Amino acid sequence: MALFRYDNDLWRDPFSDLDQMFQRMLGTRVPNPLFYSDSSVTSGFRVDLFADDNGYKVIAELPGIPKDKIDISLENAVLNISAELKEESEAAKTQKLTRSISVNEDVDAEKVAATYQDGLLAVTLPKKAERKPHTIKIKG
Amino acid sequence: MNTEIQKNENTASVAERRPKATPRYNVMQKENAYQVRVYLPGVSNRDASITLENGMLVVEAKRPRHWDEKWRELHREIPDTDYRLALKLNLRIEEDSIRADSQNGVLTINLPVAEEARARKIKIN
Repeated sequence: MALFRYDNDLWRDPFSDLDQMFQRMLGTRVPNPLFYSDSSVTSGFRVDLFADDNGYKVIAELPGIPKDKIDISLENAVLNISAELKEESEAAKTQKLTRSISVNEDVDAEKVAATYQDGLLAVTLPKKAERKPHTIKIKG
Repeated sequence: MNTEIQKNENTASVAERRPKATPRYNVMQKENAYQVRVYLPGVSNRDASITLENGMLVVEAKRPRHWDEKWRELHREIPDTDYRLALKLNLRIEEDSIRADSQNGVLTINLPVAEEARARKIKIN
């Protein structure tokens, strides 16, 4: 690879939708009905979705974007992450990146928190207290 | 004469040979320098290495785990592969004054063009 060529845009994988269709067809990755991402905006940036007993985690790749240029909102059980990417070039164009992720209704909107470090955004969406699994001990 | 056998980075054992992905990058021309921006989300500046050997600029970085073992995967898009970018420097670079800086997961490398390779204005008599 020579220095003066730059055409590898990993963020816009043209086959990502196809991969997901194959995975769905083969049953290797069953789409979670509670938590799916809108494929029409997949080109924005890559995200990972995780869950644990306390809630959900969304990890997004947003390198080179200052913290104050990232907007996170939760409305009607949809988590919106949008960011302004300023490409430093002669044109100095600003690109808007957005991802919308449907989240389950059991998310406690008041307690959603986010951290940003080294280009990775981590959003924590805790479940409402009454929805968390409880272990019930048998007395006596 | 140096008889010591030099360590070759390419002879890593099979077990060490993890798949590596080329990170997204761009190159910009500045006055008497080229600026390479390498997008390495999740990598802090101490986890990235830049080497210059035989006219190749190699950026390698280990991608740290960004999830906890206790978490269940619902949907994955971010790969687990480490980053490796090798760029052939097809012009003379002032090797001693290369500077690099890392911020928000972006590594910026400044490559000053060597004196003899710079653009020169030629006067018409």
